[in-house]
Amino acid sequence: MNASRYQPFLPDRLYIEEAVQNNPWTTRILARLSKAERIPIPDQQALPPAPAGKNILLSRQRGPFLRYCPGTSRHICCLYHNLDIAAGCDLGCSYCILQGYLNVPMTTLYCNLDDMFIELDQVLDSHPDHFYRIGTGELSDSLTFDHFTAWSSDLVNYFRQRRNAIIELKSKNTHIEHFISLPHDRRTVVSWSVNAAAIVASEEPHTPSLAERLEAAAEAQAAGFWIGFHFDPMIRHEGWEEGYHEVVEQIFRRIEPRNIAWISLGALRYPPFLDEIIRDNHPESRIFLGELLPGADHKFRYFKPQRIEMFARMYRWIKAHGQETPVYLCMESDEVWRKAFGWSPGSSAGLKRFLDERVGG
Amino acid sequence: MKLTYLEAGLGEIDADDRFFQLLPGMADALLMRSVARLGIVEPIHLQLRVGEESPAPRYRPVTGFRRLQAAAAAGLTRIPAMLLPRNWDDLQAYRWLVEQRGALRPFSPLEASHAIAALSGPLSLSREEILRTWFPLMGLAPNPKLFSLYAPLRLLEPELQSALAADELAMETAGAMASAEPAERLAFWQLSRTLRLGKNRQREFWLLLSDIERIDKASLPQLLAQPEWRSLLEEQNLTPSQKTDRFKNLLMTRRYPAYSATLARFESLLRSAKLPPELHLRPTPWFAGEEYTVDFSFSTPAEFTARLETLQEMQARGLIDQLTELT
Ligand code: SF4
Repeated sequence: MNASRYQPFLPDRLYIEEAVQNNPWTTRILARLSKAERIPIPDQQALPPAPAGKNILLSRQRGPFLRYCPGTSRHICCLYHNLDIAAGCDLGCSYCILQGYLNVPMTTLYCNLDDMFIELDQVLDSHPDHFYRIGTGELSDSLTFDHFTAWSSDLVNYFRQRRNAIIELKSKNTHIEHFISLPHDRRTVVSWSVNAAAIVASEEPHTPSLAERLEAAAEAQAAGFWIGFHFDPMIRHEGWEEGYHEVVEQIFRRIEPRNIAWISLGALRYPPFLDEIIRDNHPESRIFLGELLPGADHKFRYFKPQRIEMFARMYRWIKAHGQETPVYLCMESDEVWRKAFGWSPGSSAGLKRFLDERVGG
Repeated sequence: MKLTYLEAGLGEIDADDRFFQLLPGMADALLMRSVARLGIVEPIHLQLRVGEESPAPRYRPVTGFRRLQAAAAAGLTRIPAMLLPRNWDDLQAYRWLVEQRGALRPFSPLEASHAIAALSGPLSLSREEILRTWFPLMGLAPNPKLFSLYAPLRLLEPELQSALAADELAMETAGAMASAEPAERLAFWQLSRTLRLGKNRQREFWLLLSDIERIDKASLPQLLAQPEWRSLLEEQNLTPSQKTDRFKNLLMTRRYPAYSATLARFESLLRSAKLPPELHLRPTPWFAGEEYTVDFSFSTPAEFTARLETLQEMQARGLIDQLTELT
């Protein structure tokens, strides 16, 4: 077997805000990163400008942890909630939206999880009839720092006791060791972002390989977790049909449809300002050479018939393995749903219902 | 700091040493005439060349490169000069130069580019140091993006540098061109002049062309040599603006073939519908949605009826079905 190309991220330096210095989640990180230099600071304002090396800021989340997914106008959104426990990622995918979005000075881990659990209690308790799908993979990768945070274990333990919520750990990484043997009561979906092999090689060069991700997914399945897959962003490239079809086949060789919570499809899309950033940061990439045109929300997307073609084929390939697996589109219009899948949830509320029902909401 | 006045012999000054020159260029006719008539009025600045076996010429010019050239052309043998302190090394002399120049007005992108080359090359300063200390001296914000944009500009050919200095070439385009092959940028500049592109169009066309080059795996000279492109550019009966529009269409067809095919089909359906000028039918921009918008004007009941009849006729001929299938 080939050695993994992926190198787990280990920071050289930890900047530690005073507000979280004695907090148990900070202490846990410090115990696991004994070699990293530790620099206490009063708050983020005291950070030096652009320090060299691999740095992490251990900070206090000052805003709410839980946020509605921003969605996008005139598109059907799954009405997801993001739980912002980290901001930033080490994996450096060429298309990553975080390149243009993050307004934090460096990769930041919000260590005041005590406040987060209080906030979650308040929100979930005050809306007992509302079902929440919550994920930590919006401003970071849910598992990429888990080898030294082990926060997945806190999340799995917490959501195990909640009836009106489910947590999704969405990742390209394989750090499942801290939660895989925990009881979870199927309140956790462990999901992997996947892509065609050629795209993994060229656009996600620092991530674990597809085979490694699927291996981790198979282990999570064996431990009884719900498994999710996100084909997002799908990128048109030479041989994209074979490339994506092959990933679908690999998934169904390892994972049973009854254990798949959902599979989402999203085609490459980004706001105009990200175009220049991607070109500057990844000049060798070819992703911006697609027929990407501005949509109603001004984001660049593939020309509509091309998106419909990609989604329709994927739908067919996935459904060839049975009707059970829910497949949904991320940020697409009712029209694209109908033309690609032959049906549409009709609205964001309809899509929410569709996904909630799958995981017991 | 003490500068020493002297009358320097022209032969003692190494006019070929351009290390301190912030912006390469030649003396113009006006300066030539003025120096020939009046001599050098404002002293130039010199640095004493140091070394064990002090080679001739003794002095390096620090300012006044064009005046020096004009003096030589006028046959002057001695010119007034100010000598920088002897104990200054190159870095101190360069700092003095940048401070003097930056106090007058901010450095132009080209001046900044030459300064960056001197500072990061012979003077061995880091990018961070240049940004932090030297950009403010140049009157520039210490912005890493500006650094990346300006640094390669000095690689542009003199013609392109002049176009940039004359504000005929967009800064961003110049920055992008600087990292391309010389043959690419010269071909683009030639194209830009043929089509008389303004700065916005330059930017737009450069980006489209760069993408097409990568998609087609061809260089710009190779693309421009293709018969379809060449014949359009050589067409005598089109104005530059007509040529530009057609060229843009050509670029769009190559860059966005699926979209362009849909657009062409839409336009052909519209042509066959023979709509009067008072009736407009539009798809959503880029065919992103599935709707069409129709608007028309009328001033009499008869005109109103006529517009509706035109639309009904489109439907009767199956054109509406074809339009909706398009999206
Ligand atoms: S794994 Fe996700 S968050 Fe990390 S760089 Fe890639 S796209 Fe961005």
